[in-house]
Amino acid sequence: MNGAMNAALPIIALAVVVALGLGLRARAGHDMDMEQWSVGKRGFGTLLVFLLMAGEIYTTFTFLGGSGWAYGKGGPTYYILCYLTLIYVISYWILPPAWRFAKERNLFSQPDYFAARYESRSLGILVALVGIVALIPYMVLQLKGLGIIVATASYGVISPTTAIWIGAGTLTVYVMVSGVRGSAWTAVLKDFMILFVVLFLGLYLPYHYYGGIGPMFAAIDTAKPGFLALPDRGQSATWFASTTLLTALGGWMFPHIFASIYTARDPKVFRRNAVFLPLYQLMLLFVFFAGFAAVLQVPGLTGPDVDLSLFRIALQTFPPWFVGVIGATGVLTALVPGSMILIAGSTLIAQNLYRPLAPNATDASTGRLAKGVAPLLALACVGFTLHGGETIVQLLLIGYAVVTQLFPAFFFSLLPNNPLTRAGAMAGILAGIATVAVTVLGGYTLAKLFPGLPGPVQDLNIGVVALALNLAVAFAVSLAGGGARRTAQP
Amino acid sequence: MLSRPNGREAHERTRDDAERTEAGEGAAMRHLRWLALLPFLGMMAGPFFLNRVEPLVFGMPLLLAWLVGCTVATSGIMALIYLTDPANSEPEEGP
Repeated sequence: MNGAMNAALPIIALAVVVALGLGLRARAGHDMDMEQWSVGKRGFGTLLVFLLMAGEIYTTFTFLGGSGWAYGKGGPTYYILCYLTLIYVISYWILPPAWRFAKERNLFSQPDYFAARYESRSLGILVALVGIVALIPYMVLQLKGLGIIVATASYGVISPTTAIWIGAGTLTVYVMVSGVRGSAWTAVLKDFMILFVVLFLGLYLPYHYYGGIGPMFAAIDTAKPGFLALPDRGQSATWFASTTLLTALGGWMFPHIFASIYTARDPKVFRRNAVFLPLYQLMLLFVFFAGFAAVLQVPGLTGPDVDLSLFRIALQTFPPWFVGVIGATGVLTALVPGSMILIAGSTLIAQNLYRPLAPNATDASTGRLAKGVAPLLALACVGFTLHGGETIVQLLLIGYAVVTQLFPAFFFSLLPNNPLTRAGAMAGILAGIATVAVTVLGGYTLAKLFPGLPGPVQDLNIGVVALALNLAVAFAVSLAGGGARRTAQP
Repeated sequence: MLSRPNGREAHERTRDDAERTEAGEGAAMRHLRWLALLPFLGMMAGPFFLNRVEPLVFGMPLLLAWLVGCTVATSGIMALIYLTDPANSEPEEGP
């Protein structure tokens, strides 16, 4: 096994070194002030924004979680393709006005936007807290992925725990030296690699083991009837539709994805990307194919272990050097979004939690603090990673349930006459978050809460309930407040 | 809103009017944006009617093939909206 290890690990290590080098190079010629570090001086064109947005969304989640769910759940996995497509449809209309508003007021972060729109510092603090809570599961899933990839590709020589520590350390160094410009350039490398690896795996595995895509699906359908469609109960069509909608609405509400809006040079960038990014999502199809190929070849993985399926089948199929290439791709898919999350999270803490409480803070001192906070945030995420048992997709769904609660306040702020007051927006967000907290911590589903409801209604994603309560409370409080319109107009 | 137009609204209205005359059937073109609802409809309602494995289409289970078709169609719809959207023929707003 020693020889095997020697082939795969150096390739992964090389990818990390190249990524660090790209990060350092991207920094050359740019002063690393706060605006440069967190939003790239708002100077990115169509291609860089495309790569940044694709880079944030094509994460270890796509790579391991997408194939893991295809392996473990079958049909319900298709929702991933749908929500990622719909996210870009929505982007066409919501990103340009948000960009314009942020540019006029020189905003850095997502809470800045809410604070400025509702002219409320406390709303900014609330949004920052929600953002940090939502970022943690998102970060944990990147680190979990890193652990799986390095442990598997090292053929067990490096334990997942050690891998998670190394990964978090690399991420922190990377973020502190390079900022968002480095993330965008590493995304270029990452996207080329993932495109190649995913297309290859998604075609090679089905042809190698089954003789084609069709024969593969036919074989799975014979062995597990109904697995490739949605079940009648549980993750049924109702679940599928509600989850697709919730995650599509929530997508832009993640602080690091919202912040990528600010990097654009011009709002046309978003409209152009809304045409091409849906097609780009078809790459997911090949991730699914790879996961489905594993169903009959490496059976028996259950629970959180389904995330291992892609690597298990790769180990059984390919020589160590190619496992190294897959591993290197996987590491980059964790590094790019991981660095975006760390940058956004640290910016949130420095800009939106510390600064409102420290009136003497300058841009320079806030920027220094943001970089100082990054290692602490990484450390906290390592702690959560080592103590949780969720699968990658479950973690993502929790993050989405939390972050989607910001959508109503955001959406109404784009309207010419915002019906929500600042008190209404805050009350709605609090009500939504409280509902998510109770249902996630208590493990409630609609079926458990209301056994009398008709079956299909019980299958609705519980996030819909949180969102409905959020809206109801937001409107009730806004109306009770006498309809004082306090929203800043663009 | 119409009774007391402020400077900005008035400006926007003339800009809209200018776009309409410039683009000829501008108003009709702008209605094309409603096509963006189709991807939502296809992806969220489709699973209720097409939740089947057989027949395989292009080798894929029927439901997956339908959703892939929706994804491709989404790109086409967004391209149509982009090309007919007057906002995109304005000069860039960048620095």
